[in-house]
Amino acid sequence: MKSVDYLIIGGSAAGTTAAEVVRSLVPEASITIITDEPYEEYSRVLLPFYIRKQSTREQLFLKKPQWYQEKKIELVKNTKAQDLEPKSHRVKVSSGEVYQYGKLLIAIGGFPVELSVDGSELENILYFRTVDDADEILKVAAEAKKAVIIGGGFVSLDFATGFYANGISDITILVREPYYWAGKLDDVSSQVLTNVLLENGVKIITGDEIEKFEPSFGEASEGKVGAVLTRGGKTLECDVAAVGIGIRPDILWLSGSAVKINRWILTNEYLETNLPDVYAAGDCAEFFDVIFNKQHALGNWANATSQGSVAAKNMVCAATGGKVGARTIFETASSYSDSFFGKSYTFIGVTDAKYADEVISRGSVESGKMTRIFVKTIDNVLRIVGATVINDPAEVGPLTSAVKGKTDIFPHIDKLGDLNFDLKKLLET
Amino acid sequence: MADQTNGKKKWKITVDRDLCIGAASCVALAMKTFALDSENKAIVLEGEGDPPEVVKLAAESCPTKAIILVDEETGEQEYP
Repeated sequence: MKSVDYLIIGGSAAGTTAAEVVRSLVPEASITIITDEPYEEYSRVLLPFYIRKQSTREQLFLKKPQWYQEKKIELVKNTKAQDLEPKSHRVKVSSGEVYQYGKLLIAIGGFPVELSVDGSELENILYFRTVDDADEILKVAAEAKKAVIIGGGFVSLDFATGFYANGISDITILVREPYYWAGKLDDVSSQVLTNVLLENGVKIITGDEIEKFEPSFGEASEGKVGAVLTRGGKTLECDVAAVGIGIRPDILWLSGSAVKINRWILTNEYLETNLPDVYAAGDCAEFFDVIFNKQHALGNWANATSQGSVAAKNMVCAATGGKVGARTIFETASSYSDSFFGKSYTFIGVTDAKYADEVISRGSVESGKMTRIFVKTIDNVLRIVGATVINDPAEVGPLTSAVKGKTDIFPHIDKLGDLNFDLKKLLET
Repeated sequence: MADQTNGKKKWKITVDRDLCIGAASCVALAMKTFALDSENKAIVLEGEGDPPEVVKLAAESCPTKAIILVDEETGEQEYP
């Protein structure tokens, strides 16, 4: 058994930032990061750029082995956590080793939900999370001519843009919902977004879903995917299929620990779970968000790094009896942006129409831009709680500031829907 | 570009706009130093800013290594 002051499960943005902040606060403490991947920290944000050949593989890697040595942070690669025993403060990992921790941070991120239809075992069916996945995408795409993408969300946009950049011109996206990204966007925003796809030759089939994968025929392609059959009766021939139908945390190893889980691991505003000395940060954490007074899960890089930093401060503060660092509330209104076919989209704050009192739209299909602003009265202040922005990056800064600043927008509410109204005026006092 | 004047180190901070993709971790970690502009790219704010170690953490958090830190005194690039 190994004993470590700070044990961090997960070596990406949240885990690595937490390790760095712990080290800056307590120079002598022992810190171990357990990662299921064979790499030092790399940029998941750059992976879509890598598969569309806008970044090199070398550019992905943010930390070199020397960085861990200099910071005296032990990085244990190719290893998964298998069991958490909170009473004895022990975590068993896949190598058989058992770690006894002082403080434990769970920062395991999210994993792609896998399809379990007939033919799922065939080759050239791709998922997208890791740099190894990205390498596989590049390898398969180089040989492929026809792609089918299953799912209508951000991963599908990354796949479509990536396939196109690799010379695949025949791309079809299969979406179960009545329109693309129906869970996150209204039909007008979706139309603005899908028009960009259509202009680039991408076909979209909505309201239908996969029944099974069919194998390819012919000796050269034995064992590989050859078609997607839909429940609606369509046969979509392909030599590569990609799946982006959602993400989930890998939490089976926590099932005996009594850590509270909703969809993700529940924490308070200090990123503390219900178990003593156990914290969660990043994509896998469903934290109490003091900006919106609700439990909230956010899957983006900015959130992961800042939660890693806050969790580190709180772990150190607790471990030193308040002598080092300060107990810190996690408070941020982060946004997630990505580009596709040269256009962009951004999600800010809470973009749930059920949570908001009102949703105000700016833009139109004709203008090729669409912003939706989610408005809610909290503590007697009329605030912007979130926004979705399609193809209009200038709107992102002022909206993010207004969400974060809990700005009273009552004087401007009637003008918000007018594209001529400059959103920067929201921030003028 | 801005000077970081509090604390031990003084950073000369620049953002490579070609690299910046608006992931905004710098804004989340050092909000007195960084903000996003109308192109959704990071800019360095005028004024006092954040402590130098916070700015360093923000630079290191950037997923595209777009933030460049130069030690004002020595002129040496410290990150990336």
